Amino acid sequence: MGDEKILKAAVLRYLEAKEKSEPDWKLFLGKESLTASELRERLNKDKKLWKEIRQWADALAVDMFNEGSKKIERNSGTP
Amino acid sequence: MNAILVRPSFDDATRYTFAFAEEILEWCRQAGIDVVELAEGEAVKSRVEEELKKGADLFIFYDHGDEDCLVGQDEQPVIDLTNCNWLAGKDVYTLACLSARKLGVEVWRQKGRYWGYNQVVGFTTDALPEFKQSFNCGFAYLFIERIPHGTALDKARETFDKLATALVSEGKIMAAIYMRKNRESLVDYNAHGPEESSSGGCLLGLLKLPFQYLSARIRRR
Repeated sequence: MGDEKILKAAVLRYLEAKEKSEPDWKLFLGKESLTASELRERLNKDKKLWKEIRQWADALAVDMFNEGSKKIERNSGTP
Repeated sequence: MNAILVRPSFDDATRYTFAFAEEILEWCRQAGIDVVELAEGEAVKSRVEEELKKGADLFIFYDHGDEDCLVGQDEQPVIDLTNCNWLAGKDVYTLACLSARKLGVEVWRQKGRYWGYNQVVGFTTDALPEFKQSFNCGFAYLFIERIPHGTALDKARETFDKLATALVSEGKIMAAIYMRKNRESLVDYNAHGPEESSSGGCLLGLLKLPFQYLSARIRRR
């Protein structure tokens, strides 16, 4: 799916930038910890982890739009 | 109110969450909650059971867990399905992966109130103050501000949402993603029972019953 490839490329670019700007950065997932570079490698192999990140990135996007709608409604005075 | 706070520290993740729990300890002391701390080497099953036998209203646990247990300093369960009767009727506040799935349900069945997570908990090192705030806020709502369970859960979820939005604006996108995920896996088995808060819901549970029955029959053969 085209959209998924675009999102994955953006996530991998973000992690590459993170690796350069904060080499000590880590993601903790339960007992596991991953540096930005380890996470990039994992995302290329681990479909379950990618699906999880995609799922919550989508949820975050929906939240942002909902929050935006609320702000517009508040500012325009509509109920 | 009497409380027991258990906080092991034996790997990188627990060293962070050990520090997160420091705030809980301070809040307890400020609020006049009589708290027994079982940290590091004392965060083991024998000491936990010993303190629970003396009686406590509130059990607090910070770090690793699994579906059916909370894991101590020796990486063995301090509480699991075999000794969770000690938590019957008590308030339980946890930061531990997955433990709400089975352990939390069992404690709730025994009239306990269980605050915890039903998925693996994630956090990132670029947003430690924000994750600490998210993990601890429910405690403040429930036991310091004394807000009722249902409202406390709603307020905690709002806090997670606000933090996630703020993290996005700071460019901490992975932190925001896991803040969002943690928000979704946060449960409070008193505000809502396990059936209501599981993603499948009651109907899905009912649909699963014939399959569970069949698989049990097959296993018996």
